Amino acid sequence: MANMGDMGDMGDRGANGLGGGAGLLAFRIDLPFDKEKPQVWRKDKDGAWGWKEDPAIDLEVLPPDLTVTWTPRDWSARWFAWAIMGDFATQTAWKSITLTPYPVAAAEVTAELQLLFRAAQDERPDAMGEIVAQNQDYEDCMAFFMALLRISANSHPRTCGLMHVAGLIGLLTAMHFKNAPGSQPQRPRPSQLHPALLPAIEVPGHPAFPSGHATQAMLMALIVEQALPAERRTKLAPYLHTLAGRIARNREIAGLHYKSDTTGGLELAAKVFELLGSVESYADALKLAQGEWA
Amino acid sequence: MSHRSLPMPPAGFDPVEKAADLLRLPEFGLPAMPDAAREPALYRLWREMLAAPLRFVADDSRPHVPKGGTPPAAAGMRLFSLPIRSREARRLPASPNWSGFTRFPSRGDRFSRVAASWIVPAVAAGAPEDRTTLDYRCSIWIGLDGKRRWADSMPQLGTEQTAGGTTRLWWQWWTPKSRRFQHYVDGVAVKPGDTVYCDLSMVAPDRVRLHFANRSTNEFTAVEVDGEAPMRGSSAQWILERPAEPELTATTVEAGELYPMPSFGAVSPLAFAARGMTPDGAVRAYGLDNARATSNVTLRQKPSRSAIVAFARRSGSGSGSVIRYR
Repeated sequence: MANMGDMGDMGDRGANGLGGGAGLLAFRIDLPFDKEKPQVWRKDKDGAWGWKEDPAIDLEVLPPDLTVTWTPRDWSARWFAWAIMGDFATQTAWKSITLTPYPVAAAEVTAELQLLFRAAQDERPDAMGEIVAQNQDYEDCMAFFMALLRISANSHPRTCGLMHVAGLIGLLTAMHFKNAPGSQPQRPRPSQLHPALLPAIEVPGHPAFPSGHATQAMLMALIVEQALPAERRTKLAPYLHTLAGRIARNREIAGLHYKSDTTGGLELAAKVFELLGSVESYADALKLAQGEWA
Repeated sequence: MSHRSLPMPPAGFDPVEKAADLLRLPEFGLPAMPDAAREPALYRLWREMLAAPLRFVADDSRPHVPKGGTPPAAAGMRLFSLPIRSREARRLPASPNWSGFTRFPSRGDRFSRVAASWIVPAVAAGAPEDRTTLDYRCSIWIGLDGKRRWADSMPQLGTEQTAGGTTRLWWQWWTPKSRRFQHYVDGVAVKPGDTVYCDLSMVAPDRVRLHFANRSTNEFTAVEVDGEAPMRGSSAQWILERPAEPELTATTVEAGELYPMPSFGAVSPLAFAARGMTPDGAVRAYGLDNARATSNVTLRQKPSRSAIVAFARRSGSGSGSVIRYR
C-alpha cells in the first residue's frame, strides 16, 4: 500500500441543534463554505450547460441581504411554544385557579387504592406497551394525537406547535399545583402508601396530585379541537377526548396515579384552556393552525 | 357439606310469563331476572332458560369415582410442564387442557354471574396418536376465575362428552388443593344435539348457585355449592376442556393424566353473558367481545412435538366465536 497524504479532517459535525429541525451539517475545516468561489450553473448562448463564475473572490464578500426579517415561519414550533407559555404565565391569573380537593378520608383512599390494585391485576400487562410509550415526556403523548389525526410536523406544523403549547403549559401548571395544591399537603404517590402496587415504571419525582399526563393530554385534546373546522371538530372530538382519557388512565394502571389525580388534571386542563383564549400570542398561533385545516 | 339441593318449584311454575311466579324466584334459589335494558344478553339467556314448559328435576349430584378407585398417591405432576414446540403454538395463547374464550373485567369490576347456551356436540375418537388407556373425552363449561394464578378458586358447570357415547351434566368448584371430585348430575339427561343453558350466580364469595336447563327435553335442575376458598370474579369463561383423571394423594385431589381430545367438529356458544359488578356496586354487562381465545395443545411423541387439537378463534360475540377440532 502506497503512502498517502492527509485524508482530510472530517471536520466538526456541528451541534445537532435543539429547535430548528435542521439535520446534521458536516463542515469542512479545510474549505469553509464561505471560501467557495461564487458560481452559477447556466445555459450558454449555444445551449450548453456550464458553470459561470461570479467576479467576487468568495461567497463571504457577497453583500448581505439587509431586507430579511425574522418571520413566524422561522420559529420552530417547540421554541415558540415557550414564548406563548411565557405570555400565558405573565398575562393570566393562572395561579388563582382552584382545584377540587383530592379525597383524604381513609375509606376513600382505600377505595382508590383498591381500584389501582384491580387495574394492575386485570389490565397492566395489556397496557404496558402504551404505558412505556407515553412515559418520557409530553411529546410521547403528542405522537399518539398526531397518529390519531394522521398529521406530521411537516404536514401541520402549526397544529403541532399548539400541541407543544399544551404540553408546556400543562407541565407548568401541573407542577405548580403539585407543589402548591391549595390548602392540602403535597400528595404522596399511591405506591408510597401501599408498596404492593409496585409501579411498572419509575415513579416520577414529583407529587401525585394533579396528574400531569391528564393535564397535558386533555389540554392537547381541547386545543387541537379548537383548531379544527366546525364539522371536523364535531366528528373528531370524541376521539381526541377519549385518547386523552386513555393516556391519563394508563398512568393509573401503571400504579402512578390515583383516579382523583386524573380528575384533578382534567379539571386543571379545562380551567387553563379557558384562560388561554385571552393570550394574544396564543390566539395568533391558533389562527395559523386553523389555516392548516381549512 | 359441600353442596345442597334447592327447593323445587311447583309444576307449571313460569317466572317468565307469570308475575306472581317471578316474585317467588328467591324462594327456590332460581336466578334473578336481569334488567333487560342494562343486561340484554343475560336477560335473553334468562328468559330462554326459564320459559315454560319446564320440568324441575331434583338435584342428584354424585362425585366422580376415579379410574381404579382412589390411589394412595399421585405418581407425579406432569401437566403444566408441557413443552410448547411448534412455531404456531408459540404465537398463540395455548393451554394443555383449556381451549375457548376468557373475558377479563376492566375498570376494577369483578364478575358475579355468568351464563351461556350451546348445542352439545357429538364426539368421536380423536387422532390415533393421541390414544391412551383413557377414553377420548372433553367437557364444555362456564366458570368464574381459574385463569389468573392469584384467582384459583373456580366454580364451573357444563356438559361432558366421551367418544364412547356418554354425555353428562357436571359441576365442580375447583381449587388446587381440594379433596373434592367433580360431581355428575344424572337426573337431567343430556345427549348430543341438545341445546343446553347454564347459569352460575355468586351468592357469596364462597357460595354459588348453579342452574342448568336442557331445552331439548325441557328439564331443569339447580344446586347450591360451597367453595373451599373464596372466588374473586377475576375472569369469566366458556371453555372446551380436555379434563384430567383425578388422582387422590394423601391430602388432596390432584390432576393426573389428561384425557385424549376427541374429535368434536366445531362448537360455538349460542350466547354468552357475564355480569360485572363495579367497585361502587353497579352492574355492567360483559360479553365475549374483547375475550381472549385460548387453543388447546397436545403433546405427541415419536417424534416429540406439540399439536393444536382445539383451535379457538373469535370473530365477534356469542356465536361468532368458534373452537374447531383439528
